[in-house]
Amino acid sequence: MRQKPWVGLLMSSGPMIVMIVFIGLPIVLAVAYSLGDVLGLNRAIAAVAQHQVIVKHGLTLKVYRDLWANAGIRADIGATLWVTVVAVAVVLVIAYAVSLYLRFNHNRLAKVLSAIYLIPLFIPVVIASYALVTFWNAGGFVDALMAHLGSQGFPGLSYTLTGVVIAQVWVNLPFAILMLSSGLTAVPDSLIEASRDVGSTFLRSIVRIVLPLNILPTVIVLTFTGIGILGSFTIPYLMGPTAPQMLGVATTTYYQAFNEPQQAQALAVLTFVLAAGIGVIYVWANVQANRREGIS
Amino acid sequence: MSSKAKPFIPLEEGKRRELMPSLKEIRLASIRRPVSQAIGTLLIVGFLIFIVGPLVVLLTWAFAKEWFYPALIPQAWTWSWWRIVLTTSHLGHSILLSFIFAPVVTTLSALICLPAAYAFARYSFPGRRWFMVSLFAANAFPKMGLYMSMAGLLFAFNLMGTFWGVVIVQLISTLVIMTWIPSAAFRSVPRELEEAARDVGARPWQVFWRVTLPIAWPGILVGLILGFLASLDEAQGTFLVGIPNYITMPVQMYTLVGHYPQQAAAVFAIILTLPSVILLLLVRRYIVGGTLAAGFRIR
Amino acid sequence: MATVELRGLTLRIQQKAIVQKLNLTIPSGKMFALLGPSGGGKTTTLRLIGGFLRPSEGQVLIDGEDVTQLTPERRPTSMVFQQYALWPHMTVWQNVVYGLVLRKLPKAEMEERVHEALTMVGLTGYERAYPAQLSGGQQQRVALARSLVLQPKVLLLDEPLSNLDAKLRLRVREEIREIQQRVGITTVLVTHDQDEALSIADQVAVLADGQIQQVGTPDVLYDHPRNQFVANFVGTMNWFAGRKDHNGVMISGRMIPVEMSLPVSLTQQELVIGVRPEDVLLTDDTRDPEARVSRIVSRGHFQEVVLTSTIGDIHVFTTYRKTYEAPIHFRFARCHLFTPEGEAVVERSNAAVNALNFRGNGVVVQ
Repeated sequence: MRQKPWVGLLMSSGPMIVMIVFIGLPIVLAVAYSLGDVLGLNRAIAAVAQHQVIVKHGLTLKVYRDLWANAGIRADIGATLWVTVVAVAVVLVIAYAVSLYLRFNHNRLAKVLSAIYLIPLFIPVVIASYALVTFWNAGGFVDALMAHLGSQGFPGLSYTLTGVVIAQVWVNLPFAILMLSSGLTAVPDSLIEASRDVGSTFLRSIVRIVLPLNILPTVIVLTFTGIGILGSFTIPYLMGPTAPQMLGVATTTYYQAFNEPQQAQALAVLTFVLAAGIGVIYVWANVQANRREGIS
Repeated sequence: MSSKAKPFIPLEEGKRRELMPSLKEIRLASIRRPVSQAIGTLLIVGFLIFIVGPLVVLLTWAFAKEWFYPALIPQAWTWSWWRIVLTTSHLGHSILLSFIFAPVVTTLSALICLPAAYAFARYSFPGRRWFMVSLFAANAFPKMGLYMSMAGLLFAFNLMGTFWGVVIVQLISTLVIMTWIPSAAFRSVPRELEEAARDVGARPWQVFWRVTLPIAWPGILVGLILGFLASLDEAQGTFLVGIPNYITMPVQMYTLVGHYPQQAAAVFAIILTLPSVILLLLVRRYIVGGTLAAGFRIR
Repeated sequence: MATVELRGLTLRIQQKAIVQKLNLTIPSGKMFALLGPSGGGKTTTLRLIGGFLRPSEGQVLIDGEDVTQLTPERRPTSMVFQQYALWPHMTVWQNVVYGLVLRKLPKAEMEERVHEALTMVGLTGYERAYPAQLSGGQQQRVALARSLVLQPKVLLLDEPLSNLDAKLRLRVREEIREIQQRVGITTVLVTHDQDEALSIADQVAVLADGQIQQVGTPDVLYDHPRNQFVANFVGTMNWFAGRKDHNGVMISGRMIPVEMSLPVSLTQQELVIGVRPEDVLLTDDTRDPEARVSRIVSRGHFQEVVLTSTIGDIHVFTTYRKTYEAPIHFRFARCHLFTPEGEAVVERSNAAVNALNFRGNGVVVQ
């Protein structure tokens, strides 16, 4: 590290200023608004809103209490958590299977695989959601395929939470495989060979040697995928059911359909709090990894 | 644990078991054959279908004249949807708009973020790591909530519905990518290479231009292209801030999904996807090579 | 203790033979070195024995049992890797005990065995340390303990000293030799350092281009190299083109006396002549060819003198240190003769030397 702190501070100020003005400040405003503050820069949004909770002095949690009292919102929160947990788990399992296959196989199938798995990264989320809706829909391709194979009555997974999970998995797999593969490549062959040499089977070597050495990439996949899914809008909007909705969709519905921006903001803040919980794991894992490698 | 040292070998015969495979075990093991290979292959093929299937179907729709359930391929084919989409003026206008915004946003983002990326990699200053983490944390706030609050701000600055308003909204989706990934690339440039260049008489800016930048370039390129695509694909904020003047491709796509025939949406989707595919193919080997993965580590 | 036998062992990768038709018997309880330049196939051979590679053809037998198709965990071998391959997330204790845990030994016995192994390599007191906290030499001992704790039939060492500094290397190689002799374990050592191979191995196989050039004791390799490659790789040589003459050799039209008798059968045949630096004798005899001293290099334990003569530059090792006044004279105590193709010239009648040589196909210049 160069010892010219002011130069570094100055150079890094660009994104910092943009972030503070256009992200940091709005977040503070959003939190304040959801707690009943309708003054200052919140005035514009509050001017046309319906069903606002306004306090003259201090702040109130009434918006949150009202939302929590609403069974529909509770179902939305439940659906959001369910989709996030299930999708992250499925992504981790599939991504590990694929990256382990890539790590230890160099045949033609592995070559095809490594060329193909990145594709969803190339596809804009709107397009991906649209393609997946068409594919998994009742009357869609999978349905037709099932009919040909003799299985009638495929329910159609579009517009269900299962469909949302499928789409989230599809969209998030490339990043997950990329991170895990990159981590697995960093584990030298000799560590695995040494483990087999002392009598461990291949599978056991993976569990005892490879996975413990790949914790940080795993946590990165877990947190980034988790946070991404938690706040996602496009996929549940196009692929999900009308109710329950994921919070990202609910936020938009409250804002645009109901014209209740305060309630919408409260939902956004709620999503953020959940995401922050996941984010703590990420920061903690980085600190641990840096400590182990002796970087202060 | 016993403290006194004992002779390691020879062992008292019979007291201790043999730890290495015996000859009998060796003979038995030779007979076994691996069977899991077939199952693995099957699963991987299933995965490939899961990934590629939806896209192949979408591509097929773009050329379908008639495709009724439960046929697996269209009954009749046509090119006409391509002509329809490309000649419908507001659709063409969206394509043009998207390709005006994306380069502007990418350039602006690079100007702001790349110096910061270098500073994060090479300078030590108070709050350095805190800055990087907060950049990530800010990104975890749901975009919709952000845009709602930003609306107040943009009203105040008179930016609602303007070109620069849209630029700002798209810019904030590129900040993390444009800072983290190039920063990891700068950090991966060995310090000795820079010092060696100084040693043979290069000025600091020459070192940066001739040594640091060329070596860090793959990472910067990946950052630029992902930033470009983030801007190109941004729909929600552009919709809120840009309407009715600035309807970009992805915003248009939301309307198309509900209101146009399947084929038109498919054609438009392919046009929207093409630039991503081309750009990402260019940097694919860097992405696979770990450039992207390196960017997600805080140091 | 076990013998290892390689039968026609061949490994081809994309039609390129990495090792080719290796036939080798490694005797029980001995330290056996695979010596050769990098890319010669020696590490490949070691990995074939350990089961990390499957051969294209041929067999690996341990105590007469075919293990060719077995994975590493099913072979009674244990390897010390070049970079040690210690598991960074485990302590020294956990590294060593891992193989025993896999075998579900009683806790007390595991502790006893690990303690013994660590005592043997002199690392007691470091049980709780992580590999990153240890020096290179200490890491190497952990790797050795991790292998020895399982009491393998065959110990495989892949360039065990290449990551240590010069001083430590000498000490560790003595220790390895000492432990090997105490345990009496069949050991295969891969090295590119001829000094290392010659000083601690009972037998050495020289490998180049995937083929065995010669197998024998260190003395046989040094004194009777089978071909020019071995002669050049093991020790140093002065090389000349010439012919055998009456009582010596004819090089560039000069007769240089050789004190030891040369094979009788050779007449006016073109030969490649190799002379060890210590076999060049400096004399005052004016009948011997003349030379000037162009350079003297102190090598510590001996002195290297570089001569310039009509037959070219000659490197000479002498044990005494002194300065020379030009001109001086020289002759050869003995020399090695090779055909232009690089094969050692063999005198068929000399059965004694043939017996010395492992493959029965050696050099005779006596």
